[in-house]
Amino acid sequence: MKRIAIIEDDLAIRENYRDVMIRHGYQVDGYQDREQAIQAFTIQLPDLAIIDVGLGHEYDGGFLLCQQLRQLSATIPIIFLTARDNDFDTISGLRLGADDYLSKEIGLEHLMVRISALFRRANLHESIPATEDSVVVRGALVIDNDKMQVSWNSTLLDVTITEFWIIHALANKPSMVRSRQQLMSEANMLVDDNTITSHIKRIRKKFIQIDANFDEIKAIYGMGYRWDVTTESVR
Amino acid sequence: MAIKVGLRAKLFILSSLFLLLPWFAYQFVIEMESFLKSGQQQTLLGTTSGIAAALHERSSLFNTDINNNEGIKQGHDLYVYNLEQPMILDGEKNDWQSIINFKNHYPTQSTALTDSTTKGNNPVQFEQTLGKHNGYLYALFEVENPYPLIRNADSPQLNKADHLIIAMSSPQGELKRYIVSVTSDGWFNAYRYPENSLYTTQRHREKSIQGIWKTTSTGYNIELRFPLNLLGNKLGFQLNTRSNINSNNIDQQIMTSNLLDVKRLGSVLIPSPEIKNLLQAMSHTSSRLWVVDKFQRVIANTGDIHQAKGIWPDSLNDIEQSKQEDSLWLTIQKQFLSPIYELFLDKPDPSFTDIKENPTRLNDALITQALSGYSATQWRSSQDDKASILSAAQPIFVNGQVVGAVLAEETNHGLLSLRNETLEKLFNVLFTVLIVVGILLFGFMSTVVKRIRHLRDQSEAMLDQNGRLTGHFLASKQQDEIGDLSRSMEDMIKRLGQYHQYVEQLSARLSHELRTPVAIVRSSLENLAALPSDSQQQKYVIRSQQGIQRLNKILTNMSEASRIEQSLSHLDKQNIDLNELIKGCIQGYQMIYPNNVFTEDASSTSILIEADPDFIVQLLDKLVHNAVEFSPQEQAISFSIQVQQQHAILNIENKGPLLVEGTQQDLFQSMVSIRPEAHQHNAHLGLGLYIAKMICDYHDADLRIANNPDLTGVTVTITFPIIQHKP
Repeated sequence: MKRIAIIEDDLAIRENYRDVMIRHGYQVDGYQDREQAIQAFTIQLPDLAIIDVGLGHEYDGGFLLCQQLRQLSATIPIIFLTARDNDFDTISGLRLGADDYLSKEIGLEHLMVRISALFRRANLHESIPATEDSVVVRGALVIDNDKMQVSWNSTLLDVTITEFWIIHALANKPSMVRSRQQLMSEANMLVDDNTITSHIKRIRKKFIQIDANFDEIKAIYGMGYRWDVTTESVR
Repeated sequence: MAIKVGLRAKLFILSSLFLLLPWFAYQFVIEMESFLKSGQQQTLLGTTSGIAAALHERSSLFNTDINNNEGIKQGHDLYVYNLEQPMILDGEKNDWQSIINFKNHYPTQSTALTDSTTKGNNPVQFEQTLGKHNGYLYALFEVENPYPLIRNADSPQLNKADHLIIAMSSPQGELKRYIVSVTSDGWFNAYRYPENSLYTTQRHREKSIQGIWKTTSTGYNIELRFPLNLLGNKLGFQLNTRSNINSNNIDQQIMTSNLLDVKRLGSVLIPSPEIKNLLQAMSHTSSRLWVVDKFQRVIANTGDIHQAKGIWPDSLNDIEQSKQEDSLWLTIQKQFLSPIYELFLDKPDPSFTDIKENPTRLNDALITQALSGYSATQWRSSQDDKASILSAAQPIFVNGQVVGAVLAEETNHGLLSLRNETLEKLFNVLFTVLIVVGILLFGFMSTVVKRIRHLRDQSEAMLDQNGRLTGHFLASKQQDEIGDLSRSMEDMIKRLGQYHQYVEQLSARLSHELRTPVAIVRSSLENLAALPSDSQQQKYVIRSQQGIQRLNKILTNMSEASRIEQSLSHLDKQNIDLNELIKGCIQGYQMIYPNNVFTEDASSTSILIEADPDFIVQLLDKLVHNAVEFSPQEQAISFSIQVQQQHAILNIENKGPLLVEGTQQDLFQSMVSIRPEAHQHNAHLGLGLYIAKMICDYHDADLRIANNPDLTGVTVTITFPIIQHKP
């Protein structure tokens, strides 16, 4: 049974989330502040941590906790679940090594989908090579659906679950325009258009870090985005 | 029309009141001058009374025994002028030039010596001049006598030819008479005139009376002299000649007065050297002095009116000026100030003339008053009105009788120079002070005005067209009222800015704060939905979830503005083709809003602008969303792009309800929504145009919304700066 630690200063939310997760068959430990959580983590690490950014009197307690947890384990999936949904906090959280940064607006079902996706990715990480069916190749892009991994020119990209879903939604049907609404539902979230734009921007940057000439994601003004395959296939 | 008067102009007008100071100074000095004038009068009166004191009770100096009340008559009573040069007895008048103007003229007299009935045909007249020099009295007679009768050398009778009789009173008061009769031109001595003319053959030569007889073209000149000690106070002359050129009778006589009676003999006045000496001793008073006898005849005078400036000290400037010839101040004074002063200051003019018409008699009112026993002063103008002359007269008493008067005269030049000098110094100081104070005041005011203007410009620049705060207010560090104002404005703007920020972020904060409780409700509902429940319960759970979904959307919208603003601060601008972008967008909108018609009026040119395409799209999304909401379905939403110089102008027009006048700019404010009731179906927070405006601001674009010209709908106009335009 997977163990999830939820660090949230609001008792009602904590308990609600806990109930849902227990219902989905997880073992859940709730902590209301950083000290409690870190004490517990030094004894035993959870399989996944859901952290709120603001923890009681600590405004950035979640970020601090994420840092400490990453020191304890480099691989444990960490999700930020917070009411602070601005770009700055999002970028800060992801830079600290979180696997996803979610707004509290997200529905519980969407959250559970993400959690299970994360577990799946974590489990399959070091296991057998991917099966042919689960791999999508679009030029230099390779998407491994099982491991939820994306690589460009055989270089693995460090993407969040949300980003993976967006890339997958775009690249799965190349040359077809996907509207923001479509991307939102594919990525299991309900956010505003600007957040999608921010995600696309971050995804582009990640590709450009590997390949400065990356230009596969086209913005179709007024409609959405489109994946254009312009490179030779790597396989 | 209201005239704008700045602080500087006001100060200038106010400080022009300082210009009254020189006027007051001028008035003061003028007042002072009248004081000094009366002082000068008193001083001059003192001078005359001093001289008069020296002359009182000195009867020897005055002819006290002439006491006829008839006064004196020109020609009858004689005046002996002073001759400065030594005289040569030669019958010529060259050495008489100095007093030639004062000669007396004696015309032909009708009274004949005998009772001749025949009318004379030998008109004779003569001119006589009297002078004294070195103890001698000189007399010149210019006789006009075309037919003189000259005595034969052998004729014994002195009175049977042209002759001149001199009658005088001796110092003892006796009548003395002498006769001049010659046989030829040349030297002569007078003879004593016998008691009776019948005894004229008895000649008693009087050697002290000597002279020259000289024939001229019109008659003859007689020039003679005798010592003054022979002379008392009366003198007369009589020329006897023939009246008929055919007879040899000496029957025509011309006389200055009656020579037969000492009482009727004309008086003679010889200016007294003693009084003259006395006056000269007094001439240090720098006045022109006169002493007249009771007949107003001048006994003595001294001094020059041009030098008589009064007792005022000479200008001190002469000394100072010689010291600093080339100093700057002096140059300024000479070049600029003096010409100004000369415009309104009377300068003493030393070129005035004031010549007495008759220097032997002063018969003005002042003397008359003095001779009646009272001292008097008066100011009068010189003859040519160039100078003002002060006269003072004082009577001289002998034995209680007025025997004469002392007259002293001075010009006002000393006073005038003193006054001018004072005024010039005063004006120099005043103008210097005024100029310095003026410059200082003006400079001070300029800095004050500059600071106030700076404050105004700063405060104007604080707010943009929409009333949003822009930039920071830099307070002045000056510790005065303007500095205080500036600081309090800074404080005000800071607080206003805080409030502004608070209001602008209110929605974001609110959504942030609401998010946690909404999350609680939402997660609770979802948990509740997962529990087994009957359909009745399920119905309400679903409704609650719908409600919470809507609430969530509102919260998302509310925080959208602040999220966009954050993203805008790291804008990723690139060169994009506005035309192409809009075409793409219109295609998209046609798909999203299939019930509406989108038309485009754009040329196929490429219009390059520097912008972040994502944000431009968001901007268009907001505007189109608005337009679609207001537009009736069958009406087109039209796009048009024009290029004007360096700007691309995008118009998005939709038909439909009009904007209320005056609310256009308010629409761009956060959380302002002006919609008719019919359109308020959705969660509208009035953030759409606010976000649009924000995006425009970050792209240096101008966003305006207005009713279209034919009042059928609303046009949104965005003006982008373009970097390149290719047809």
